[in-house]
This record gives sequence, structure tokens and C-alpha cells, in this order.
Amino acid sequence: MSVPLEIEIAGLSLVISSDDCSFLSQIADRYEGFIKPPGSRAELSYFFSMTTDENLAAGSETVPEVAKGKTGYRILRRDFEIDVFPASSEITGIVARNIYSFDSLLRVFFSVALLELDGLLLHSSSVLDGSKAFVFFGVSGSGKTTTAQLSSPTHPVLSDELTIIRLHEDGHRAYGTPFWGEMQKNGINTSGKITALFQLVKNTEAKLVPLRPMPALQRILPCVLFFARQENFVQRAVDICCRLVQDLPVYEMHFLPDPSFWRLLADVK
Amino acid sequence: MLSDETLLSMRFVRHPHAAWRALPYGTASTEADLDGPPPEQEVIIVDPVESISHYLLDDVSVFIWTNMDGELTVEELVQKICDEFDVDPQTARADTLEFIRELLGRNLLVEAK
Repeated sequence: MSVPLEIEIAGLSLVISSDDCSFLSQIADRYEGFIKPPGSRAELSYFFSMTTDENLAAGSETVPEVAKGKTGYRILRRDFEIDVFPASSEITGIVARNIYSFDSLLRVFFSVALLELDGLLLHSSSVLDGSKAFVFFGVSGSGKTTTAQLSSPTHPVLSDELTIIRLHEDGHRAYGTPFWGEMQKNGINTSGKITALFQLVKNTEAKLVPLRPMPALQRILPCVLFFARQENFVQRAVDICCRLVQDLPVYEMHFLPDPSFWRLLADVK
Repeated sequence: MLSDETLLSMRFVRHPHAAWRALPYGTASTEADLDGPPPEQEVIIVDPVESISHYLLDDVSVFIWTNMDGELTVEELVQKICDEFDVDPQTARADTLEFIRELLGRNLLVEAK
């Protein structure tokens, strides 16, 4: 067994041990910027004893399942199957020897484990403006990558596809992730206090339309990356979304594919 | 499908897996002005089968949902709706049965034991 590899995203770390040194090396390359230096402590760590299998078929066309396990939960898809034991922070299981399969597994695991840190993964691009973060959420094709690309010359991009949102007493924060979209580039490994959330709407004019809490919640819920059906997980995820829409302004952001939307954001600051 | 008579005699409780939350109505609005005063709150139900999916409910539906605690039969609930809202018993009965069938179809209600 080689030296474990530790990936830390938004305070949640996954310490991976495996006999498959070359696959660990691939993982280290893929998650560059999110590999944790030795000696520092994450807020929450899980220890994954990983087995890889060259012969497992790719499974990206199938939906992963989060099932109840004996003392925790299981995450399954055709190309991975792991058991998660939250009480001992241990994970065991197998994953296809394929970086895309591993990335999918990591996303699903984070979608559940982040709940312990009052966090969730939101289909959104997000950028920093100084120490503040703007989060642009929407379904596929809504313009997440476009807004990230148009911002990137002047504003650091936390993600163009999936942002981690965490509740904090002193202001909710958006965290950069290595879960990329069309930009195919890891976000930066930092966070910003969220100023507002914006639902992306492609239009021929740029404008902001404020949303009441319930319509905001209706728009946000379908954009949460979530596969678990268990009562405690669902209740927790809904609670987090309810807090977000009550504590933060949420807008429809009508925009054109040019940087003019940044003029709208000046009014929100 | 259960007959109207059978449903009216039954008691139901909310499925324990159904997440539901009430949110304040708030001030920002994307809609035309309301006819009357805005409600103090709105209710959302998250369907555990469809995971993160949801429904918006009107005042009567909210009343039905929040009274689904196994205390009243559906017929008794219809009477309570007539006492609370300006609606005739026939309409209240038909609308209540339709809504309860929808909730049952979505596994959001179970029969009270």
C-alpha cells in the first residue's frame, strides 16, 4: 500500500489508500490544487480504502444510487460500489479504474457527506469579486460556463459547473471545486462570502428580477446535486436550501452572452 | 382505486419521509399584484420518491396537508374546510378527494393506524 492521497474540498477531505499507485497518481494530477498538504487538518475527514478494477464497465449513462447500508450508507453505480460508515469515518469499496468513474463517485459522495458540514453541491458557476462570491445557478445549457468564461479575465472562477455552498453563522460561503463543466479546468481552491444567488436566464436584455423565498426555493431545488432518498438526508438538504433562500437575496438574472451582466451585479454589491 | 365513500371514511397521516416546509411570503415579487393581501407563508412538499421535486399548494391544500395527522376522517376534514373557507360541501368534498388521491399517488400520505 502506497502513501495515502488526500483530497480536500470545502473542508471535507477524503484520504485514499490503495495498492494501485499509478491510479492514485492519475487522481493527484486530476485534482491538482485540491490535494491536501501533509500536516494540516480538515474539518471532516473520511478514510477510503479503495480497490480498483480494470474490467468494470463505464457507467456514466446510469444514475447512481445512495442506499441504506448496515451501519451507514452505500453508493452504487455500475462502475463503483462503496460502503460509507459515518460513525468511524471509513469507506471501503471498488471503483472502475477510470478517472471519470472516480470523479462521478467523488461527486456523489460529496453530495451526501457535505450535509454533515451544512453544505451541498449546487449546479452553478461561481466567481469571486474581492472576498465576495456571486453564484449563478441553472440547469444544463443555462449559461454557467458562459458566465464563468466571461468573468474569468478579471474574476477568479470557483467553478463553472458545481459550486459547494456551506452555511456559516457569519455568512454563507461558496467554495471552489475541481468539478468542472465545459471549461475543463479545476476551480480555484478558496471560498468567498456569498453576496447573492442568481438563476440564469438567457435573454436579449440584461436585468435582475428579485425572487421571494418560495419561488427561489423552487428554482434552487432542481439544481442541487442529490441522489439520496433517505429521510434524514432529504430533510437536511431541504433545510439548507430553506436557510439559503431566507438569508440571501436570490434573483433571476436575465443576461446576454457578454460581460454586461457585471453592470447588474454592481447594484447588488 | 378506492371509492369516494371508502376514502371519506379513512384517516391519513403524512408520509414520514415527506419533507415539507413553510417559508415566509417575503417582499420581492415576480408576479402581478395579488387580489388580496399576501399570505404570511407558503408551503412546499419535497417528494421523497422523486427526491428533490416539489409542489406549491394553495390555502385549502395547505389546510388539508397540515391536518393530515390521523385525527380526522376525510369526511370530517371536509366539514372543517367548509367551516374555515367560503366553499360549499359538494365542491369541498370533490376537491379534497382529488387532492388526497394525488397525494396518495405520489406516496406522500399513508393510512393512519
